[in-house]
Amino acid sequence: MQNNGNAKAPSLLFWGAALCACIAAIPLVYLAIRIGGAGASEIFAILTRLRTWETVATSVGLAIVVVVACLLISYPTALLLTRTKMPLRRFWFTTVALPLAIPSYVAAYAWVALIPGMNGFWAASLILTAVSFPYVLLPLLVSLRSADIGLEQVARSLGNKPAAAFFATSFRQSIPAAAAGSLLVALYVLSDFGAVALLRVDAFTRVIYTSYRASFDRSNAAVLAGMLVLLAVILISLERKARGRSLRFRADKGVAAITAPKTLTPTWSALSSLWFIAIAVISLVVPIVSLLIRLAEGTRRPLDWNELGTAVVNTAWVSAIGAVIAVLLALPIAALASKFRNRSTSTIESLSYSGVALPGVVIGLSLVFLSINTVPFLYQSFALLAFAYAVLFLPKSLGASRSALEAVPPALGQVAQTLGYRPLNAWLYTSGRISLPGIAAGGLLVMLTAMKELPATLMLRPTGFDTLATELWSRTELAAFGSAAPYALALILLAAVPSFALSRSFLTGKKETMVNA
Amino acid sequence: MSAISIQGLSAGYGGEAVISDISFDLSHQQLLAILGPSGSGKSTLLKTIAGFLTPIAGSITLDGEFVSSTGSPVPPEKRNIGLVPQEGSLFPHLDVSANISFGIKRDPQRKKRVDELLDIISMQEYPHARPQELSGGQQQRVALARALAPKPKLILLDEPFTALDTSLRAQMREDIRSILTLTSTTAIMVTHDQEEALATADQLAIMQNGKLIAFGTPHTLYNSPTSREVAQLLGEINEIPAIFETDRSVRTEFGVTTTINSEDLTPGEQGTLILRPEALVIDETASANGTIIDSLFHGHDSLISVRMDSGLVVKLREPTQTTRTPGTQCWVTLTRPGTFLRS
Repeated sequence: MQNNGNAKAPSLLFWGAALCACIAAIPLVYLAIRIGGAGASEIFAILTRLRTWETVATSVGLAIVVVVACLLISYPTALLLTRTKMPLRRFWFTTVALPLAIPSYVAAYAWVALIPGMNGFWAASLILTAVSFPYVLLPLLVSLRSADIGLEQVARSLGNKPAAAFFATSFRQSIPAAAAGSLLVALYVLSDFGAVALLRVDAFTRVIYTSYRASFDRSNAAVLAGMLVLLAVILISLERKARGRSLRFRADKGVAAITAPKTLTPTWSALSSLWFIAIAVISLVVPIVSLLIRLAEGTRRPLDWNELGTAVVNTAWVSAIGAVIAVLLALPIAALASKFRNRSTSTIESLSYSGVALPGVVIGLSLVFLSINTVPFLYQSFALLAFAYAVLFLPKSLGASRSALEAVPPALGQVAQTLGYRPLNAWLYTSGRISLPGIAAGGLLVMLTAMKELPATLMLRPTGFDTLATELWSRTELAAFGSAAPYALALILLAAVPSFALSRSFLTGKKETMVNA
Repeated sequence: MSAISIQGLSAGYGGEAVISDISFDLSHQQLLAILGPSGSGKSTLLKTIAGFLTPIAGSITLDGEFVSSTGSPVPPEKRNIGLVPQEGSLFPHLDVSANISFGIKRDPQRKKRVDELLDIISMQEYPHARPQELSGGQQQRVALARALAPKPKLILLDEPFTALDTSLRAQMREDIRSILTLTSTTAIMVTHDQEEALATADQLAIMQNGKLIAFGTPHTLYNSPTSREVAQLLGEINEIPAIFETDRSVRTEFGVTTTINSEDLTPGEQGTLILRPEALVIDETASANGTIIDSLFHGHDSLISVRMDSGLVVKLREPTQTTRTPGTQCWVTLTRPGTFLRS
């Protein structure tokens, strides 16, 4: 009685989940409406504008440069970590994931604080690479670690040299993982707002934001947002495909032969250590040292503890409400998707994943339009900001709730029903109760991630309502670099938790939806 | 009155029938085993009886009350049918006694009832153990106690022994049988293991491709199967070409012998005589009519294959005493009546 795959979902659950998915899709739908409202001739005018295509070229170019750089860093790094006995291997293994904990705009701020006047395309490439390369490196590490060395040994025994054998076997097996990671990096670069804005690169997000601020041209912002969503959707569907293929590769690996790591000559040991030190300096040491310097300088003017405290409380409070909304929206969908799999339930599930394809700046823009035009009293309200977080990070909560619920055998709910519990109670006392820790962890993850959100917060926050991210932002705008440092450090501490959870679940081989990061 | 009566039941998913036209009656305090290969629809039948699937046609009657017929079926929580699923089915967040009292939370006598059940399943010493601390057999006993707690009219057991080691299974079968007898419970158990079905059940239902192909006591179905499929599902068989003569006698290459069945048969009909391996005997000293070609040692007995001079290969089972060497000439004869099936 384990198999429930073909059973029909109870209609209350089905329609509840459908409603939640529709709520989550509001920003996407409203954006489409807003673009449609611009009129064909105006859309045509925007699409034929040279500046529009310059924006596309900048964003796509930035994504390509960063992806290539990430691949160039990740392959040698992953090989050194999985195939050699390089010095301090364990240490580096845990250190390479840490850059994920630095929000892009914090890294950008730290670099600009150290090298005033640093800006432009190549600066943004450097910084975005430094904060996003673990998205490629982590899946690559998993792939190379679990690659069947037996195949490589067969290739060797057939007369291939070590390098040729590697390229013919393990390298090929690692391509899907690297591809999935690359697409994630591309998605990260396209949706990033903070770094490109601070470094004055006219990528999509910055142009959308400035068009929106210059309120005379809001159709331009909407159309560009639509193009950005389209790009993101393409990347996500490619990522799904690549990930599916990489899973299949691992699924039939059987018992993989494990190779003994190679001992390096002293020269190679020194060179590989230098390589890791260089990566750590660029991605971790420079930003953190720069922040500490600024912090020391900043203390000449006393830190306003009151202001920092208010920002922390505001941030925690609005993120917590956002997380609660996200969990409430995710629960019916997760309950449905974990138990009943068919075309209509998977449509509901993918609809609720729209947050993945909507960069913060797009959600912000759509909800601004929506609130001004239809529910003005919600414009720049606390509730709307929390809702934006909920939609933006719903996939995280959904992923966590779903895997927690899937771990509960369906027989338990059936047993409870035969013992006299009505379906909803049976669910609450068994699946709901047992998966509670997993669901709560998902909610916490949403909260921690929402706490460092920047663009949607800038656009939607109530007047005078400051969070850590917006405080940092306004101080960098005023070039008050010193007083921004405490906010930047607080943000890094916050971001460390979700990124630690992500890298741990990845390296311990749990089924992970990295796209939610 | 039957404990459960099923008439013309069809059920499935999305309007497509997985089981069709199932009918049987089961008396009180009997244990029915439903035996069939995977995909035969036995789990679907169990789900329909429990109320998790609405039938497409037919009816289910419990103690004379309809719980399911065309119209609105009684939901699972109102049927008073207990369920013991395959494995890992205890609530992991509750201890043993909380698991048992899960279905009787509002019963003022629940403490007494839990103690009583702990006693019945011989787990008085572990009321506060967590499911993870129990062995597989203990877990299944607790799952049974949990299902018994509200005194259900019927208990459904879904492959209750599959998760257990072979060495534990025989013991568990006895335990569950005696617990069911002690509590005078009517039960239906699904299994794909013929030995388990034969050893545990009072009544046996055999399913294939969504149909009930045989229903009866294990003894009857084993010794006088109604079809070749039924015969094969319950164990090794010999199929000996035969001609029906008159009044329970058939002619085979082993001479004239008797049949168990005779209804609807006309003299001169061609067919097959179905015989279990234990219905044949072998003698190496008498004048030979065949040659031993194989001998499989099973410990308590051996399964010996003999090629008859006619070319027919028969299998016979005998207690392990003599060593049978392939190649040895021997004499084989039939000692018990068989079932005649027309071809």
